[in-house]
Order: sequence, then C-alpha cells, then structure tokens
Amino acid sequence: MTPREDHEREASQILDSCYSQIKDIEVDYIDIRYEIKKETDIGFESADIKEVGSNTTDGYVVRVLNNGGFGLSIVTKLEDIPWAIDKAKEAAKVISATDRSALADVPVVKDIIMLELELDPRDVPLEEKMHLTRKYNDIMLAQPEISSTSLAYSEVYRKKFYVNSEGTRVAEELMTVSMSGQAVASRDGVSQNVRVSIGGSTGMKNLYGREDVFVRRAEIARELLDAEPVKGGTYKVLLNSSMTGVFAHEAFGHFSEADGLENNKSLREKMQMGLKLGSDKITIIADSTMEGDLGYYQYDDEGVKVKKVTLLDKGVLTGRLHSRKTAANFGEEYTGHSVAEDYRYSPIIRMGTIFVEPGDKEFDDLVKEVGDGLYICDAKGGQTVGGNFTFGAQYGYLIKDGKIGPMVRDINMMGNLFTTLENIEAVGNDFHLSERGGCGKGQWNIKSAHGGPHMIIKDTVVGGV
Amino acid sequence: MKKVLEIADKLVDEAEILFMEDKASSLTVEDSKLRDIMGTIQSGYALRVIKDGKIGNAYTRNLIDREELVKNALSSLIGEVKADYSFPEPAKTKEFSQFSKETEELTYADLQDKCDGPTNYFDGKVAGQVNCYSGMEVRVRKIMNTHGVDHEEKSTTFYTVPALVYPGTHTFIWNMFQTVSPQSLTEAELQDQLDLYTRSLPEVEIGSGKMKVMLMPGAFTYMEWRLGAGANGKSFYDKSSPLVNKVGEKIVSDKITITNDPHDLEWLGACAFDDEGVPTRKLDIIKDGVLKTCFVDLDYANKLNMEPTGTGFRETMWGDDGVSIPVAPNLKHIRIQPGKESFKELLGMMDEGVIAFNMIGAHSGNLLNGDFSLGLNPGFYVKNGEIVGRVKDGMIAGNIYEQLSNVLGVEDRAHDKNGIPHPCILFDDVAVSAK
Repeated sequence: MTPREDHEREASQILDSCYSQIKDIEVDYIDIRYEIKKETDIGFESADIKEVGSNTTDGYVVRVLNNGGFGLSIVTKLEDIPWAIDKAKEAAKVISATDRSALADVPVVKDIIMLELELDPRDVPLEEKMHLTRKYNDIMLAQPEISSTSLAYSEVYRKKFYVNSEGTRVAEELMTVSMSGQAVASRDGVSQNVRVSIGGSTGMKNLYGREDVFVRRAEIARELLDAEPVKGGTYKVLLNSSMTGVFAHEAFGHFSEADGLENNKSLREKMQMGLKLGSDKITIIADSTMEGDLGYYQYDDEGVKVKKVTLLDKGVLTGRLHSRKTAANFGEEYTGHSVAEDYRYSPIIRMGTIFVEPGDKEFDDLVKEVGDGLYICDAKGGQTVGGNFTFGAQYGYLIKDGKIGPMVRDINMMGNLFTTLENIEAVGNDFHLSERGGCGKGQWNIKSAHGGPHMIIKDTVVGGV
Repeated sequence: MKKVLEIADKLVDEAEILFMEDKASSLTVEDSKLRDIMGTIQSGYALRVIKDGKIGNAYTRNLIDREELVKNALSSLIGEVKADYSFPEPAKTKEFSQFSKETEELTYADLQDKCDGPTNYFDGKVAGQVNCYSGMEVRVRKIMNTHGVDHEEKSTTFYTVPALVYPGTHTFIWNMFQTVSPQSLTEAELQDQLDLYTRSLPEVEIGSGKMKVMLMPGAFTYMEWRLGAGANGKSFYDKSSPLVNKVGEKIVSDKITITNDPHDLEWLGACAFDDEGVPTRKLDIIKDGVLKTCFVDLDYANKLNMEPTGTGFRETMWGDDGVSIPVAPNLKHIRIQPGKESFKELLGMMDEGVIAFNMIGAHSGNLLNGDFSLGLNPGFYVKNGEIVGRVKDGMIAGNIYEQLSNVLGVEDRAHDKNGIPHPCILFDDVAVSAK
C-alpha cells in the first residue's frame, strides 16, 4: 500500500466513524468535525532552554440546524458526543423560537487532502529543530547591548475530518511552522524590544538560511535605545508592507467578515455592496488559494472550498467573507471562510490571507510625496472594535523635506475605517506577505497572513509617549 | 491521575499531574434577539516530570493511554531543560468554596431569562442596539504530585453582560456582572449604564494635549499587562525590567496599593493553590507607592533565591486552556486598593479631560518598560465636571509608572472587570492625541 493509499484508508475510516455518530439524528441538518492536533514546541529564554515537547490532542464540534434554530456543542471526549448532540438540539430549539437561520446551498464534496511538503517537519528530528532554534537565539544574544532574548519554535500539524448530513465528507491536513520571539536591548535601565518571526505553511523550507533576519532584528533593538519617542499628533504616514498588511487586516478585513455585521443593522447599512468607501488607489483582496502561502487551505470547517474574493476594488466595496449561514442571510455567494482555530472552537469567519494590491509608485517617490511625516515599520499588534482600529509599529523614522531622518519609537496609530480609507494617497509597487500569523478574534488564527506594498495615508492620529 | 503518577514514579525522580475540566454554556443576544447558544465540555491533563535536575512536560485531552502521556514527558527531557527545584511538599491550604449547585444546573432557557431582564429594560430607550451575553461555567482543577500533594477545587461562574451599542458602530459600553450564583440585575445598575450611554452619544472632536484622564474598570487591561511584565520574576531574573533593584523604593504615588489576593472571596477566581500545587497567599506588589516584591513560579523562585509566591499558572495574558500552556509567573488576582473619593467627586475634579471606558491596542507597545499608546474605544470628553460626549479618534499615551505617580484620586469602591475588581482612578497630565 502506498503512503497515499494508507492515508486515504485511515481518513476514510475516521470519516465513517464520524458519520456513524450523526446519521440517525433526526434534525434538518447536522455536522460533526473531528480534529487531531499535534503541537511541537521548543522555547528559549536568553541562554536557557525552557520548553521542549511534542503533544497530540483531539476533540469534536457538533452543529445542528433544526426548524431554523442553529445550536452547537464542543467536547473533547468521544463518550461526550451524545451529550453534545442533545445540547446542540436543545440550543437549536430554544433559538428557533426567536431567530431563523438557513445555510447557503453549496456543492456536496467528497475529498481527502494529503499534505506533501518538500522539507516536512514530521521527518526532521526534534534535535535538529532544537539546534536550529538555539542557533538563531544565540545569534541575537551575541549582538551588542542585547540583554535578553526569547525564541520559540512552533509546529502545528492538524488533521481535520468533516462530515455533514448532506453527504459532504472532507479530510484535510494542515501544517504551520514558525520561529518567533524577541530581542531586548538594554542600556542604563531602559529596555527596547523588537519582535522577530519567520515561518509559513511550506514546512521547514522558510526556516533555514535566515541568519541575516536575526542579526538585523537585534540591530534594530539596539538602534531603538538611541531613538526618541514619537511626538503625538496627526501625521502623513508611509507604511511599510508589514504595516499595510495589518491595516488591510485590522482596519478593513474584520469589517468584511459578515458575522460581525450580521446582527448590526446600522453597520450593515454602512457596508452595502457597491458603496464607494475609499480612495481610488486602494484594492484589497482576500486570497487563501495561493499554494505555498501561510494562509493557504482548500476547505473551510464547513467543508466549503475557499474562493479568492476581491473585497474592495478601487475603493468600491465588492466582496465579503462568508460562512454558509451568513451567505444565506445576506443573499450573497458563499466564500469558504468559516474557520476554527482547532477542535476547541466552533468555526467563525476568518480572513486567511488578505493584502492590498500593489500600485505603481517607487519607494523613493513615496518618501518624496510624504514630504514631512513618518515612515512607520513592522507591525506590533493591532486591534479593531467597530469602525475604530489601532495598531502599533516596532519602529519608524521621521520624514523631513522628502527625506528619511532619525529613528523614532513608541508609535501607535489610530483611525476610523471609513475616514482612513478615503485618506489613502498613494500605493507602492512592491509586495510582501507575512510569514507568521496570529489574529485573536475570540480564538487564535495562526494562518492569518497579510501584507501588501508600501502605502501613504494622510491625516493619521499617532499617539506618542 | 494516581496511576499516571505510579507509572512515572518508577522512571523519574519526581512527577506532578494537573487535571482541569470546564463545563460551560453561553448565550448571545444581539439587536435584542437571541442569536447563538453554545455548550462545551473540555478537559485535559498536564504532566511534569523531573529527572536528574531536568524537567519534562506533556499534556493530553483524553487519558486513554497513560503510558503514552508518561512517554511523551520523558521524551521532552531530551531538551535538558534545567529544573534546580523540586515540586512542593504537602501543605495545608486555605479552605473556601466558590461553587453553586444552582449555577451548575442552569439551562439554556434559564440563561435566556437572565438576558431578557436587561434587554427588556433597555428596549426603546437607546439610539443604537442592545446586546446581551450570559453564561455559566463549572471549573474543576486538581493537582497531585509524587510528594503527596493532592488538591482539588471546583468553582462556578455565572455572568450577564448587557451592552449598549452606539449607532453605526460596533463600539459599546457594557456592565460586567459576574457571580458564583445566578443573580438578576437591579434597575439602578441598568439605569446607571443607560445614563452613561445617553450622555456619551454625541461624538466630539477634541484637541491634542496633556489633560486629566480617568480610567474606568474596563480600561485597566493595559496596566495589568505592563505591571505583569515589569514585576514578573522572569524580567527580574534577566534584568530587563525597569523595576529591578527598586524593591523597597517608592516607585509611584503613595495613593497606590496593588496586591495579588487569591483569597479575596468578594470576587470570582479565588484559589487556594496555583498550577504547581503551591499554596496561594496575599502578596503586596506595591504598598503605598513602594515596590514590595516581584512575583514568581517555582523556577524563578529558585533562580532569584526567593520563597515561592503561589503565582505559577498555566495562563498567558490572552487566557488559558488549562493544560497546554507551560507554567509561568502570573498575576491573575490583581487588586488596586480603593481610595477615598466617590466617582462623582472624581468627575467634579475634572475641569477638562477624558474618561477612558475601554481602550484598544493594550498588547502593542513596550510592555516591559510600561510604555503605552492606546485608542479610546470609547472615551468620554469631560468639560466642567460633566460628560459632554464621546471622543472621536482619540488616543492616550505614556508610561504606567509615570502615570501612577500622577494620581489625583482613587475611587472609594471597586467594580468588576472580567472577574478583577478595579476602582476608577483619576490621573493628571496624560498625553491625549486626537484629530
């Protein structure tokens, strides 16, 4: 038996077993997702190794739609599945008295996806992974004025099995690896830190030969010791691709997730298809179909094939990300974006990969166009609530008379989606996507890739220290 | 659990096993209609072993194969992670209960009733929409080790969170009501929330500059996280914290006393032992402005030659799943001691300023240094002691240690913020940026 045949046989058995749990349940619709998750973690804190381990966990999510009521349950033990089904039915019954849901029609799918990677982490010994993590950690620690470091290797291998009462049966494997941490530079009781992360969904390929990344991150941490805090105020800002990506994700992307709009009437009116929301310069795309990219997957956690979606086309709202439930509610096309972190969660609408489409401006021309303002670099976390967003930068530079000046630190920008989209003045011709994800919309999404080109936004509120 | 320890005991010097189980129900009302109901049962086991001064870890959700769990922990010894300490010996822990049978037996229909109260009260009174979240949780936590430690706790949480959403936004103000037993909200509590919402409806543009800023309970997250980084034994050990070498020194205003109190039964989350089986205790972090100590787990207690502080937990600032997160020092029972002024008196002290109800971006910035730069979401603009509207695109920025040195007043009562009590605090000279 070939490895593929062996894989398909095992997956079929698990799918059969899942189906046997739901086949006799008398409701309008039921699905069950079983997932096995293997995590390998190695962690260094300065010179000390703090964590090494490889663990496998699993669990089940059951969803029921009956008489328009939609209920769900989550359990980690096989023997609790009858409880999960009963509780999901009970929830559906209670909800059906006040709310009616439907699911968009989607093709019935039978598919088993086997992961094939060039440098498969499953074939790399733990000792080799420890050696590589230690090497990069030591590189950062050896740089001048670096007082401490942390660096963690994370490997998440998921085997997902999805079955529903319509006949869909999908099994898919996903592998995400990363090496991430920070370098802390200290002088005279003041510390500055810079984050580092490499990785992706192509196995170990992106992790080898990256010494220069770790040297440069440690250098930036040291340079920040001499940087002044940015002065709070309103600026014209030039974002690098990392910041543009966070803008696309935080400021706009979460607004294109239909579950956030579904039950908010006034916001839904503001986000109607065809409305001009922003400048002609900006086009934003969600595309998790790019093989080799961090956000790549084939089927979401409702067994729906993911589609590329142009969300904003030259400032006009043209697309939205959907689950089957929201697609039916909005009367729009399904997109395959209902994704769960793992077996501990029900699927919610997630972006996967989102980016700003490149324009035609060279970097030097963008700097000149800013005139006086800020060049802000490398995202340091963002958050959005309603129309408002904030995100931090790890470092930046003053721009004076069209030239890049001294480094500044402690940069956070804030804005409102609708005004900021109109304030985009220019978009660069470069393009870069993030190698590591991490969006915390109630549950973590390590496959949330984002990026784009350099981009200018005018009238941006920046809070200094 | 005993069988796992018996298997491990033959192969290693010491072993410890932690069990957790969460049984929870949650219910969501949005735009005054019931939208989602979810039930969960999640459990797991985490095993730690020490052999020849090295520590190994493993965890699982299902204890079907005990041998495999032990084998995984032994395999992780390959990392040669140092453990120059021992798991604790048995010790008497404080006995108390935060468990309610009534909460454990709540049905989905019961939870719906709890949401109906505030939803009906606000019906027709708000310009935006009314959301409400209600739920219950039963948590069991048990820890055993080969020295004979054997502790178990079972607790319940019931919550109702009515939220009033501003028109055309997702921005809302909420009231957090968490209790051990199911409770209903009083009309007075709901009316206070409605008054605050009504006064803050107009969106106002304010200028940038230094002004008085009052933090409401929901806005304190950034301060907890920065203090949790700065006073953490880890950052004392690697000397990256600005608080290193400042124990015994006055670092903030003498109006500020901050403790970690796991035995405070007035609020939820009390626990008698941490996730290493160490008995918990009340710990002064800052008393009358003076830094008293850092907080540690067993590892950093040993590295810093300190007594354990009962603050080793499997939890990050983003939360926990009970087993997969490694033990680390964690300040999860933080309390800021209430002061002398009422909320009304604090408001009266503001000629011009901003009240931060909630802020976004708490996780970005230099946490270790205490620096922050946060979006107000929402923040209220105050003129002559009156709330006159909601700040448009506003941020506040600074450093928590400087901010805590500029305290004008601390409220005389604490409010629930996700299980952690906070009084409102009024600060002087905080940098505000706005359009």
